[in-house]
Amino acid sequence: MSTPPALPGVPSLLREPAPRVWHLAPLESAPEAGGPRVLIGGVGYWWQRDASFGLVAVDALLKHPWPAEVRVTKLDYGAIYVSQDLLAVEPAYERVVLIAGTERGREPGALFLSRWEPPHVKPEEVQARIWEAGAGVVDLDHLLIIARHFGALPDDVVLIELEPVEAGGGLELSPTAAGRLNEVLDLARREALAPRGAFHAT
Amino acid sequence: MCFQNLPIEFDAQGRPHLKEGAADPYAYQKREIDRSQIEELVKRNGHIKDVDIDPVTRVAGSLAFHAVVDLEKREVLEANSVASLFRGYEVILKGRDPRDAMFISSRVCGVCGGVHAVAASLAIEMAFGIAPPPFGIALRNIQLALDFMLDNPLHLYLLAGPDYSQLVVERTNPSLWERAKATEAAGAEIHGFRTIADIMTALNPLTGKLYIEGLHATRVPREAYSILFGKYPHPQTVVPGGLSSTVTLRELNETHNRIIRTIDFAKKGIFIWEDITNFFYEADSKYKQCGARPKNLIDTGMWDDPYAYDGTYKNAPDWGNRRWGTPGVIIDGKLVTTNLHHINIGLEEFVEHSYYESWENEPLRHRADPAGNPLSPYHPWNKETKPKPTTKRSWKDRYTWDTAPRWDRNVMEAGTYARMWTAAAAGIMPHTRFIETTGYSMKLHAPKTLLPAMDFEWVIPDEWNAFERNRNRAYHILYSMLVAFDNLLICFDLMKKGETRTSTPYEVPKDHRIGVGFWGAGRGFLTHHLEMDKGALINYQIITPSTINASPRDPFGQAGAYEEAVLSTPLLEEYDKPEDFTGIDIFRAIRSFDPCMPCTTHVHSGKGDHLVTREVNTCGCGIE
Repeated sequence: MSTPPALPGVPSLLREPAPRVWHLAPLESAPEAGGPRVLIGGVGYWWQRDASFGLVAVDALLKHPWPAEVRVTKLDYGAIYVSQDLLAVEPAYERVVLIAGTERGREPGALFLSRWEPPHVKPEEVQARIWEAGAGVVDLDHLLIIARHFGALPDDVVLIELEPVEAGGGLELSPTAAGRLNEVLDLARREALAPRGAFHAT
Repeated sequence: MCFQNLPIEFDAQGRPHLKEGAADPYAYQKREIDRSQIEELVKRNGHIKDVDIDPVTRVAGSLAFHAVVDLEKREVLEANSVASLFRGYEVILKGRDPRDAMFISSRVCGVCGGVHAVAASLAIEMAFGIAPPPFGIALRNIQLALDFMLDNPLHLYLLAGPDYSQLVVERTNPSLWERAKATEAAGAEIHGFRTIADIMTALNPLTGKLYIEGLHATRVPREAYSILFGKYPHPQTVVPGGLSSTVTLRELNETHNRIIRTIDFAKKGIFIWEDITNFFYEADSKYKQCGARPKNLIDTGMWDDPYAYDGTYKNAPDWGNRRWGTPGVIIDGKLVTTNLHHINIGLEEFVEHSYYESWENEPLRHRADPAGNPLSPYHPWNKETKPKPTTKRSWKDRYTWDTAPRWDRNVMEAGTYARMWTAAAAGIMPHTRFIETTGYSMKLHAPKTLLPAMDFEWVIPDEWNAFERNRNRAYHILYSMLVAFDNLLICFDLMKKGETRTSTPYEVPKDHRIGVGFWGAGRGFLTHHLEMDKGALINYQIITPSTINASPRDPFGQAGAYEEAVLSTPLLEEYDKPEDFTGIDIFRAIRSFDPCMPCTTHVHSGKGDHLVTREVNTCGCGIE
């Protein structure tokens, strides 16, 4: 399988883990020690054709068995609340694999596997994204920036992104995107089960 | 006689009917928008600027705002609200099993899915002819009160709060900041901030104490919500006829614990927003004009009486008036109706300045509602969603994916304040354990929690502006929690009696039915209108609070609520040069509505019609 080149590098100026600026007691339902250590999350709105790729992919992933250390879930809600949920997990996930259909002007229909390197973000931009997330906008970059700001993401974050062929209201993925689902299954499994910190950008 | 503009009269028994003699009673003449004067001013005067503002969505882009401002006279000359995000959930719902509506409409939004799920279930209950048992109704009330305990603090402390923070005020109004440092906070004993400047510092984005506390505050009700309803914000347990979950004493006790903690937070918040509002008014009375607009508000009411709600349209005026939030319409500050039939038949939706085609050439679906009251061709039950995308945006013609909902052809406003205002003005709310409505105010009797028992009174304000919206929202948190507490006590009582059924069995009818869910979101008014036949949906229409508030001009030339609010906002920030202008007063005006844009523009479908949303926030020069 040939994987398109990773997302053009966003300069990683934030090498140190972001400080946890707030802490929450764990939810009663939070996994206990020995629970999942890796999260695979699909991000987006439903029924937006290829823009919903992450959620459709997670539905496909959930049809397969996963080891106890991996949790597969849909992150189809605002980044502030996703951050709260991630922070509530004790012990925290060691690796997070996020899947989404994101428009970034790349080759339509191509899959992009990349290790997320947190960009340096001014507080104004974090707040701008919080304004949007608080107003109901679900967006992969919002999730990354907001969750990172609140210390809810581990250092080890892998992105599997599809550049949409067709986005907008509609139930079905484009044929090209639908044809990518098996690849995502392989990629997600490989990345979820890889040793922490390892990354297969091949 | 609540209608002044629609062709509806009432007979001696108070039944509405169409005025006689008009061949086409709902016909109207579209008024063209004349921008020639504005264009001339912009051309000739360097101090008159086209500005494009991103009050909510700078990054992903779903709400943009265009304004023409006179920086010398410190006035806004023109304002256009632009909803640029669109999806198509209503179209997706067509042809589907009606029960899908709860799950699909919930996904409209990333923060307030539960309100859509419940509004859909109410519409389905009406169509199916069912209603939940009392325990299910009371639990549903708790659910939606908890929802607001998430939404309202998030808005006050994370979204609107930064507009009143030290970082913003010190930059935009240095003299105001100096005054804040010298002004004692009246509520210091309760909230712990000695001066107004201390409050402003605590509102600093990302780091302020109140900002962080507001974030924490949303977590507690989320826990309760998840315990009772499975998941937030897309609940798993909402079904037509109630809830699919079994609730035991343990879940009720867990919820009780969290409601108590939330009431404490709500008590303190009222003192915070009283202090902020009073400080700005005393510093400069012109702040009373920030975000001001006519006192025209609408709410369908919510939180049903477990012993009154039967889900029927016929009895909606009766069970509506038994709600904890009384339905109502306020026109020029006066309550004109609390009758859900009147609220419903007064609704129309116009698309002259939106990216949709009119459906007026389609056969009229419904001349009357199920009670025989007349319906406009522009009513949601008659509406057909017909997207008409274009790459050309024109301030004279079409400029938004939002529509223009109107009531009796008046520009309306939705919000927590509409809910409290209609309940307060009506003075008929029957559940008086913690809440009293007086005709001019709402009294909130908060029980002892960690803080002592306290009595609050939200009085219908003389002024109507951005500050009053925020002040009300602080009271609304407590109001919601007292409704939740009241319903929790009802649940305990029902449990003692063994009445713990949460849902009613049903079968999907195969004949033609219509229904409407009259409900509310954290931002206010919410309706779902559906029509079904042969067991499938044939039409589905959603009106959200932000559909109402962010609406464009209507065919009568009236600006939408955001637009009106911005047009009346004086520019009070301190600037010497145009490049120093930040637009903070305009931001405050728009953000005071708590815009929620993904819900606003849920209606779109079609191929190859993707509007490039990023362009919206660029300069508006060159757009007509």
